[in-house]
Amino acid sequence: MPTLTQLTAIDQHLRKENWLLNEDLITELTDHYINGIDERLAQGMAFDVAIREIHSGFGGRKGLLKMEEDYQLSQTKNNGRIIREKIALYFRKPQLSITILILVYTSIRVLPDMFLNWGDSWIFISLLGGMSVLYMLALIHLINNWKQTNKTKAVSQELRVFLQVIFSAISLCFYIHIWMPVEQVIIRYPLPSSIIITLFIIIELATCELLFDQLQKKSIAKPA
Amino acid sequence: MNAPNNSSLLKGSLSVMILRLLEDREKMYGYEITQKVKDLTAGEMMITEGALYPALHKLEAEGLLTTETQIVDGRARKYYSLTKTGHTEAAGRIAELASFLENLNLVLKLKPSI
Repeated sequence: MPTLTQLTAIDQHLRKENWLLNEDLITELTDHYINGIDERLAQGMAFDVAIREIHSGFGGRKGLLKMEEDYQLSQTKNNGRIIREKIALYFRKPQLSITILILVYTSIRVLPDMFLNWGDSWIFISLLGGMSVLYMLALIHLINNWKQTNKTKAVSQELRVFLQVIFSAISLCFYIHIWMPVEQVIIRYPLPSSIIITLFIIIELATCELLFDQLQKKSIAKPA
Repeated sequence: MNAPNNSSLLKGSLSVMILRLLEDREKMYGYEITQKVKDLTAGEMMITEGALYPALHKLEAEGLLTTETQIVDGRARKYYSLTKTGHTEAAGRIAELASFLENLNLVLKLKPSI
């Protein structure tokens, strides 16, 4: 088992000498370095030689930076795949009932002579409440992860998804109001409008779920 | 992969090797995979870190592997395991590679025509 000084040296090696930024990748590589160094130290190799040997196995700094870039891309691809799978679930039982509920609600909202309004609609309040609870839970998990003092704190991956959820929701509302004559479109095409709104809500829900899953996965990391 | 001169030969089969190893073991971490391959081949075949991790991340992005983090000796360790799709895909890819190797063997053992 490497000493605390050696652990600090590994961390500095990855962050400062090799310019790595992605916390998840750094965590994974730290474990690899420790295992590799442990084995080499047992064979009588010096710490500096061991760290250099492992470093060259990764292709040096260039190799590590390329790996980080590819990792970010593959994670984005992975997130996209998971979101698509989650969206698909909203069109199958039992989550189909949520989609129908949202669609019915948005249709009622956009149809002329509607009898519900934003203020007293229980469906709207339930939806808003549900979304708010998801956002709050995700935010609490994120803050808890930030508070961790060890090197496994989740920053990049979860923060990116969290910002994606918030940013897409804000920009969606903003751009719709700026660039589209929303009320005119809704009055003229009520059904397509309600379908589009429903789809956007489902995408937001699926992204929230992904964020929640990732944070929960990290927070339940337990001793093996 | 680094061992003597087999790096280009192994390039296309690394993902199949990972899938096969994970079929055999429920879950493995990166370093464990490199050591397992080294042990199985008596040191003849060595997977370098620079090849292993991108392959693992790619398989994860394809939905064939899933990850789980556990705390071991006070530090986080990322374990990889096969997903349901990964199990199905592994069987197909292994069969495909085995068939390719059989055919390759036939060509390599070709006797010179008189």
